Amino acid sequence: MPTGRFPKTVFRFSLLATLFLVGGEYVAAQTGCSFTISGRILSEHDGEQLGYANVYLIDERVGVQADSSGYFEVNNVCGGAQVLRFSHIGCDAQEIEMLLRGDTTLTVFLHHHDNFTETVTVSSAASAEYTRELDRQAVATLGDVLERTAGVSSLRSGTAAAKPVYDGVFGNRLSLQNNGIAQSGQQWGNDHAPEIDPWVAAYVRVVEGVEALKYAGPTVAATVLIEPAPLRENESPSGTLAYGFQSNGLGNTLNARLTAGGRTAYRLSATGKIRGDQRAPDYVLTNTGRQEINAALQLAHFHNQRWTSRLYYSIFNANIGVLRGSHIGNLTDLQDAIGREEPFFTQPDISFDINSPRQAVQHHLLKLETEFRPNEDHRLTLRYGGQLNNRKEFDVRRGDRDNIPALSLRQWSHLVEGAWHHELAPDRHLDANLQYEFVLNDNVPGTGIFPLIPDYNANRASAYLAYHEEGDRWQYHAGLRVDRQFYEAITITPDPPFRIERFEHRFNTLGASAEGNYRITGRSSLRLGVTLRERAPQINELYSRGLHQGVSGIEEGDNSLQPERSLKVTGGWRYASNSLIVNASAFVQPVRDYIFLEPQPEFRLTIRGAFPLFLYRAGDALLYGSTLTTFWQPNDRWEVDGRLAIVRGRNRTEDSPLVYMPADNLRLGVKYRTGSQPRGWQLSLSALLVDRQTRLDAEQDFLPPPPGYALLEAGLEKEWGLPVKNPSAPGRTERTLHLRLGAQNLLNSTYRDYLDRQRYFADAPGRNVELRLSYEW
Amino acid sequence: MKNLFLLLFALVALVTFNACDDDDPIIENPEEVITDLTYTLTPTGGGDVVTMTFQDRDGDGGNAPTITVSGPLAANATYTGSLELLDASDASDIEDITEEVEEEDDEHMFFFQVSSADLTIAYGDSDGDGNPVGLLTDVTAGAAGFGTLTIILRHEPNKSAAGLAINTPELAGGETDIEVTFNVTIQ
Repeated sequence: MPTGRFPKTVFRFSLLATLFLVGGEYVAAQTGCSFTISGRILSEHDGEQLGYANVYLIDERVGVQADSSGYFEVNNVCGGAQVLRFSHIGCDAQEIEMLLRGDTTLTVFLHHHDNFTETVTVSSAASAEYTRELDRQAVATLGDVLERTAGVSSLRSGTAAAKPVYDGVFGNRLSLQNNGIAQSGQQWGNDHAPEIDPWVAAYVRVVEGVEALKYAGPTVAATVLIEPAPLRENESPSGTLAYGFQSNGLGNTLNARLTAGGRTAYRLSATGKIRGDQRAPDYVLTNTGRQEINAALQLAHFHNQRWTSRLYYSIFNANIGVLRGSHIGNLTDLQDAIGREEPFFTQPDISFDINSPRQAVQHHLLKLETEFRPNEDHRLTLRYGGQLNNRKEFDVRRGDRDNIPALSLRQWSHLVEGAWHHELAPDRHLDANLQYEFVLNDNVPGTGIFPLIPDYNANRASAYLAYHEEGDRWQYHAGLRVDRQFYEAITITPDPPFRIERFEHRFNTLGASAEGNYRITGRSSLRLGVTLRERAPQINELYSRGLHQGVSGIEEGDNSLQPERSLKVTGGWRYASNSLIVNASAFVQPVRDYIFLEPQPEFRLTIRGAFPLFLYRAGDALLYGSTLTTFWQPNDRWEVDGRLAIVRGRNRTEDSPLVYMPADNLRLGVKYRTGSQPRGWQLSLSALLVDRQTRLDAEQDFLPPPPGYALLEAGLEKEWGLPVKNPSAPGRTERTLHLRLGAQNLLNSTYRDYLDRQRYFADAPGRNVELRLSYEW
Repeated sequence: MKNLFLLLFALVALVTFNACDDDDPIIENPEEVITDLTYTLTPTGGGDVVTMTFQDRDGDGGNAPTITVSGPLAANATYTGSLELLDASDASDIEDITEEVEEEDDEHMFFFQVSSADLTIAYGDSDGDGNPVGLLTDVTAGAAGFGTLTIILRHEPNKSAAGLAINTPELAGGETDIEVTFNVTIQ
């Protein structure tokens, strides 16, 4: 929840920026109350103008409102000490103290408010959630954090993995960009969570349309962006030490962060996490523990005003337990497991041991970037992103083989990118990039099992160009992207004698998008976007062959598949006054050659019994839906927000619903602050209502979708300022202690979610009380 | 600082080009596979031995498995049943999986489900804890008729589950390593 206090680093930056930008005329002799303070209020994250922000001079009790472009002017202000308070709906308020000695021009950066996320706008400045919000949730996993964005749900494998679902698409169709680099690894697996530490991520956004064209990775419209907070030269040294406790699973999380500015600015973050088995209301979820050790180093070197280089390195290590009772051998086992009072292998007590089945994942990301701005109109960036992903999955096996991974994959990926940003005029710019990506995926030998996914090499070259025009009433965006991909799959023949066969594939895919935004009045606007995207089939769709353990089915790829072609049309209406924001949007997305798993009528007989056989096939699909987001701030103390998401999907070839479509869901939240903004108590209560997924044919699943459910969440938060040794020192350091007590599933409800693949076996976790304590200096 | 970045770029380049090994993958020697199951029924009072065999040497997929039953069981006769499991995926190196099951007999249990036919099966062996395993069984054939016999091997079952019987694998949990069905004739 927002504390009202401006996050410190940003505060410092803003203050400094303010000081730098204080221009205007110094009229030394002028006395009395005839000064003018004017300026512009911008969003800290993307520099977007914040229209209708409020400016209040606390001592003079005078307030003005900025115009639609965020410009404000206060006249006849007295000289001397003044405290200005800037606020904007959806942002944390900020106070600036100054000694006024002349007419002053300010640029004020405000920060997007924590819990509130704007939905994707045309320029897709989009749903930014700030560090503080993520910090609050960092005890949870990234998937949980993402779920708070309107239209985002999670596809889960119990507590072990969560993947985002946006507008009904996920996995191979929704790419993730970690720090501007497409997250590599085994993203095809629905039980493979993205390997990202939520403590490092400061911004989580979903972009689509023109903005999403910029990024690599398979996608049919949208892309999830996960970014750390930027480093600035004028950052003063600061640090955070945070500890979190989770009652469900007795989880402990410790995170430490150190930041310093200067010509070489850095931020170092380290996280350790240990959690035991979680608990459903009626029983322990045996073997659902989790251990994580992550670290990240962020470096920026400001060579000169025109040239900046950045380095980012992160390592993610996790050992994740998978519910013991969800490990099954064949379809009979699955049917035995369904409908039990409690899962097989349930132990009476929780344990911190992680046994098979489990996943051990390690992910390295190295990003190097150098940015050169020869003049104000051009910005050139050269970027390298390298990733190494090691994934080992351990099954319950015979003959002491539990410690030999059943699946062991190693993937190297390298991305080289050159990007160009060109300002044509104050309201028009061009964006372009060229990318080359190389992926090398190997099965690490020694598993004693034929691999599900073959070894492969993939190469991709792409070019992107976009034009943005942001006029007063009209805004236009248009973009084009072309990708040329080359795969070489190195497969093993299915029948003995086993031989190696190499297959090559070349795909050319196109992406094009045009969007427009029209401001009807100062407060409401309409937008429309059309995006065409082609997605080349991924390696699992072309070549997977074998038993997919979690679903008890044999899956076989089809190497004659062609790229999917998707056309997404979105429209929306947005209203924003200084106390109310309403955002309504709808989309329709037909997809040609949509790749899906088709169940085959005959079963495949093996020594372990008969298994259903699924083949990857292409057909036609149609997705449509809408989201409604509202945010209302009647006064300083109260905040109310609501988010509704509805999505439908049909497979038109089979005339059946698409599987894994999120059920209709509504999130409602209310927040109350006692006392003045910075240091009061803050109370929040939110409810999540999820309907039953009724649009599914009986033969599409082993079990009908679970009933709808409602979950209640509560939070209590406070921040204390600690005494500072030398408060008047320049760049004064502020020390704060932040406490948060929160509870999820407050009523300890027993429920199962349709998008959770563990729902066949067990209930979702019960009540969790969380304590988070952080000290910042 | 500039040198540091150059160094890092060089390092990256090195890693990139070193990583481009394009060797053929190593073909795994599947270790845990069971390809052959043979259930041998030896009559206690003399007569013809009946063998039931399930064989799928190329693993899941590929060619369909072959299921053979050597002949009918004699009505009103008793048999001693014994199971043999093989991994014959590599014809030059046939492994006896029965031994592996014997070594870990506390983690394994066979179940026998009969439908229609008048056939009664009882465990004839036990593990170190005194719980049944099922590698050896006592079989009684009753009146003449037809039916099926399903043999199931569960790994890591709960052998102390309440109400557990020779035909109730669903109470034991665990993973199914084997589930094969034979046609049975008693005459």
